[in-house]
Amino acid sequence: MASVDTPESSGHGRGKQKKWVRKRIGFRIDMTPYVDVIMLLLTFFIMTTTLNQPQVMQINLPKGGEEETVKVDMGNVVFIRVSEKGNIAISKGKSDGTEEQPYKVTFDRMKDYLEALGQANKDMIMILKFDRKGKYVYMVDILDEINRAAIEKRYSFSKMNDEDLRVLESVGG
Amino acid sequence: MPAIKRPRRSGVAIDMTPYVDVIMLILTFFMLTAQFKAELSEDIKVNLPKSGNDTTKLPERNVMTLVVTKYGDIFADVDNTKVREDVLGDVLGLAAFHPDSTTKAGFESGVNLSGDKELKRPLVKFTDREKFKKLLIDLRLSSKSNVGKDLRIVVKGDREADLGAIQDLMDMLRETKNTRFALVTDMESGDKKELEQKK
Repeated sequence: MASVDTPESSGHGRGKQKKWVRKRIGFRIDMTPYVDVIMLLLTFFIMTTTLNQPQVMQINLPKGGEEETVKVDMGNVVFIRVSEKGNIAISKGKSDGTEEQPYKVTFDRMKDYLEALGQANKDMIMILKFDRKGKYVYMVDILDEINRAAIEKRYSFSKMNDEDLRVLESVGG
Repeated sequence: MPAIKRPRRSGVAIDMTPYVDVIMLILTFFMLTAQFKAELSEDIKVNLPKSGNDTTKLPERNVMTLVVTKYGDIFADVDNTKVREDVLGDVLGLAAFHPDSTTKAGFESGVNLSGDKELKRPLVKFTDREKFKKLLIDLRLSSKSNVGKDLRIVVKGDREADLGAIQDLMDMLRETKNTRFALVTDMESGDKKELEQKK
């Protein structure tokens, strides 16, 4: 065996020098199984992880119950009604409580209309009325379009009633 | 006789230390960012609507997820198992409610809600609107006492879900004083925007 006398640097007495000491062959650990396990773990985590975190659209509803109403100047109000089929009708409110003739807007042009209305009146409040039978995607699309438009984002949701349905029918349902 | 020094074949030993170091770093990264399927309410598959302008990301912890399927069912879920056990009586429980009485609930008619897999979590069914509202309050209270933090509410609606179901849910949220919530959407991919511009 390759066992050699290790020279001792410090003078520790002669007796020790004669002792046969096994040479420390720079010991190494075989890392292969360790790496194997680590790789397995890594594969597991890569497979199970979900990196694309969905994004969210923050909504704040007004506090308080249904019966509490807030008085607003009807002249600032813009009604956005969305029909069952996803057609959009925009109409401006007048200060005396009535509203102007609604007009039909395609989804692509809605942002331009909203920006024009928002620039004309800085205190614009949008009232969104969606048909209950419509699809959820209409609501998200329209909220997204409002978020993208360069206007003050003041809007609230309101229930659709028969009056609104008549308005929508007048522009083609 | 002097010992003949035989040349020892040292076997090509590659030093794996840097390799292992890097692997460990990647592993740590994935372990820390990993979210497990049980924590997310991945069980109910919904086709999320797309939106392009939101930069807020989905909160990671303390989330109450309200899933609305295209059948008009609402599923309420929290990510904390303790809260689940507290309120629903089951660690894996998932609350289900169908607000529209004129149509049949998707979870009653045996439709596969979780895509291709089988729904493993037991459903706790609610038939009464007031009881479901109470559940929404209970979940929040339980989370406050168990975790010490308020729940954040996210609504995951299917693209094809009826707006009526969403409006009912929004009404219930408002009636239970949950006036802040978020709608979960998918990131709009670039090619769709181009398509819009071409029109």
